[in-house]
Amino acid sequence: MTMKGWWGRILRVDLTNNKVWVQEYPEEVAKKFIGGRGLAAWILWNEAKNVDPLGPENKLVFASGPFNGLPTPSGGKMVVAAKSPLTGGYGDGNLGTMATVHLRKAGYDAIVVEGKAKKPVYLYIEDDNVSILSAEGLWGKGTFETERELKKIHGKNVGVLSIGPAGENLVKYAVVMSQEGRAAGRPGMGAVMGSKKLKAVVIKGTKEIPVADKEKLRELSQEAYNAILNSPGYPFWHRQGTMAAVEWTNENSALPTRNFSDGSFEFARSIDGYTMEGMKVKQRGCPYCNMPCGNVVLDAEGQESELDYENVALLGSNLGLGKLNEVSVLNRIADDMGMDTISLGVSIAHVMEAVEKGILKDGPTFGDFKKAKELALDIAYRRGELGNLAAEGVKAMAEKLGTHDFAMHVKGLEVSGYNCFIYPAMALAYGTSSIGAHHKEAWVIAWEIGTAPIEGEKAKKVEYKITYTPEKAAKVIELQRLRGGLFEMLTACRLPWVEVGLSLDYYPKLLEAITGVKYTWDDLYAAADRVYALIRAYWVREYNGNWDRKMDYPPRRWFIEGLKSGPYKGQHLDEKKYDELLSEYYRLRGWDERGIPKKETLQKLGLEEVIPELEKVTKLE
Amino acid sequence: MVRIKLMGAFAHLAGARELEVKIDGKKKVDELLRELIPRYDEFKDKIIMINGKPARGDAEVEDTDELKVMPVLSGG
Ligand code: SF4
Repeated sequence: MTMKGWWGRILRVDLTNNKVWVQEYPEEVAKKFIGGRGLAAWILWNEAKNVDPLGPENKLVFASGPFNGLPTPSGGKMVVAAKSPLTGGYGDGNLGTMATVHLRKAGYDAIVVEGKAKKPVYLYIEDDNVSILSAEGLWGKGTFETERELKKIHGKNVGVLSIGPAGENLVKYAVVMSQEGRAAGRPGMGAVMGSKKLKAVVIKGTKEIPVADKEKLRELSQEAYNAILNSPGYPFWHRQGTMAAVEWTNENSALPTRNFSDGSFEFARSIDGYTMEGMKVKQRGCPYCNMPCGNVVLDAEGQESELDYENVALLGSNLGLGKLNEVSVLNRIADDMGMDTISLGVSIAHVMEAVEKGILKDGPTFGDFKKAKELALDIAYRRGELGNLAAEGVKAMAEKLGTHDFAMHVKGLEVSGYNCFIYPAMALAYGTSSIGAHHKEAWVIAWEIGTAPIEGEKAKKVEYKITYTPEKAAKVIELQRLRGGLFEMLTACRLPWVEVGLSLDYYPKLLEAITGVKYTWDDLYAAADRVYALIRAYWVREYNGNWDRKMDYPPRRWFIEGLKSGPYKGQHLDEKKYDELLSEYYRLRGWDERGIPKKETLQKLGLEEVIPELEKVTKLE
Repeated sequence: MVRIKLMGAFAHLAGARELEVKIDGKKKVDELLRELIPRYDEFKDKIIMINGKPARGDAEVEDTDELKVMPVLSGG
C-alpha cells in the first residue's frame, strides 16, 4: 500500500477458529472515514448485522487513527467499538493508552476480534507476529493486577488493554481498561470482550509509521505543544483538570445529585477540585499529552484512585456521598473491576431511589457508603439478586421495576455528569448522541450557560430563562461534528481545544502533514456527518426499523419534575418545546421526522450502499 | 464594597477565590475584572453573575453588588 499516515491494514482475529490474518482496506475508505470511530462504524455497519451483542458473531473493534503513534498533541487515543449489549445499538468509547501507539507501530490501523475462545485467552501482538495465548491464570483478576502480570511477562514497553471481573461476568456496562485509570466503551465493550473470553490484548510495535511530511508534522506539533503550555488556563488545568467542574456545575444547578433529583449538593465543597488537590499524590496522563489530567489521590482504604469530574459527580453527589476519599474507593473499585464509573453511579443511584421509595426492599440508600461499596462489588461479580439486577443497567431495571420516571438514561445508556432540568441544548446533546446519554460529543452546556439571554436594562434584574432557540440545535450539531466526529476519527483528545483553547486550525494541518491529504473544513464536516448518518442507520437497522423520535428524548424526569432547590427551584424542561428543537435538529441534519436519514442525505454523504439495506427494515423518505 | 467570587482558572490567576473591591459609582464588569485577573481577555467563554443572575461583561456593577465569575472551560 502506498498510503501515508494510514497503513490500510486491519489485524483480524477469529477466536473460535484460532485464526489470525491481515485485511487490507481501500484507500477510499481511509479517506472517507479517516479512522477511529469512522473506521469502526464502517466495519460494524458491514459486518455486525443483527448479531447478538454477546454472541460470537459480534465484532469487537479496536480502532486507531492517523494521529496515533505519532507525536501529535494529546494524540494517544484509541476507539473501542462493538454492537452494544447495554443499548442494542452502536456502542463505542475512547481511551488514552500506549496500546494505540504500539498498534500503529506494529503496522495496523485497527484490530477486529470475532468468535469466542473455548478458554480464557489473551492476544500478544509483536509487529507481524500474533499469538493467542492462555489467560487462564489471569481470569478473575482485576485490571490493575492483570496489566502488571502481563508486563512482567512481556516487559514494560508494551501497550495493554484488559478487562476485569465485570467484563468476564458480562456486566452490561463493563469497559476495557488500560494503565490503571483509562477506560473505554461505556456501552459494555468490556462485556463484549468478556463474552469472547478475551482477557487482554498486549501489543508491541517497532515499525516506523509512514508519514507524508515528517518535518511539517514535527514543526506543527511543537508549536501546538507550546501553545498548550502557554495558555492562560493551563496552570489551573494542571492543578485540577476536569475536577474543576464540580464547582461550576454545583453553582449552576447542573451537578447530578441523588439520582439527578437535584442540581446542587450540600457537600459539593468536600468533593470538589480544591479538596482533591489536598489529596493528590500524583498525576497521570495519556501518551503524547503535555496536559495530563489524571489526578491520582489516596482513597479511604489507602489505595491509589484516579479521579475526574464524571467519576466524582456520579459516584459522589449522585449517590449523596460527600467524602471524597470514600468516593475514591468506589472509583478505584470500578476501574479495577473494569466497570464504567458513570453507568455504575447511575445504576446504584437508581437502586437507592427505588429503596427509598419502597419499591425495592433491601439495598443502599443515599449517603450509605458501606452498602454502596458492597453493591458495586456485587454488580462486578453478579452476586445476589440485586447485584445481578443492577448489572443490567438502568433501562433494564426500570423495565423490571416500573421505575421509568426516575430512570436516567437515553437509549439505555446512563446519563453522564450534567443535570439538565434547565438546559434544553444539553438535553438535546444527550438525546442525539451516537451512543446514548454521553457528553463527549456535544458538551454544549458551557455555551448554553454562557450565552443565556439577558434582557432588560440592568442585567441584575433578569432571571435566567430556559430557551429553545433554533441556534441550540445548530450548536449541538456543530459540536457533534467536531467532538463526536473530527476528534473521534483522528483519534485525538479534544481537551487541548476544549480546556486550554488550542486553535482548531492545527488539526486539519496536522492531518495533512501526516497523510498528505488536504482536508478542508467542509470535507471534515462532511466526514463527521457521514459517520453520524451511518451510526444512525446502524441503530435503525439493528432495531429492525422500530424507530421513532422518542428514541432521542431525554429522561422523563427532566420533563415531569423540577429542581428541588436553588434559584431555579421547580423549573424543568418543556416536552413540546424540546420536541420542536428536535425537529430543528433533524431538519438541519437532513433526517426525517422519525430521526432517520433521508435518502438524499445518504446519497449526498456518499452512503448509497446503506440505502437498500435500510429499505429492508423501513421506508425511507 | 463589591464582593467578587472567582472560580476556576480565574481564582488561580487572581491568586484569590474571593475579593472585595471598593468602587466609586458604577463600573463595567469587564473593566473591573481586567484589573484583577491577569490575561482576563484571553478567555473567550465566561459566566458572569451579578447578585446571582446571569449577566454580560458590559453590565455595570455598583458598590453593593455581589459578582461571581467563572471561565466555563473545565469538565468535558
Ligand atoms: S488531557 Fe487528559 S484525557 Fe486528554 S489526553 Fe491528556 S491526560 Fe488524556
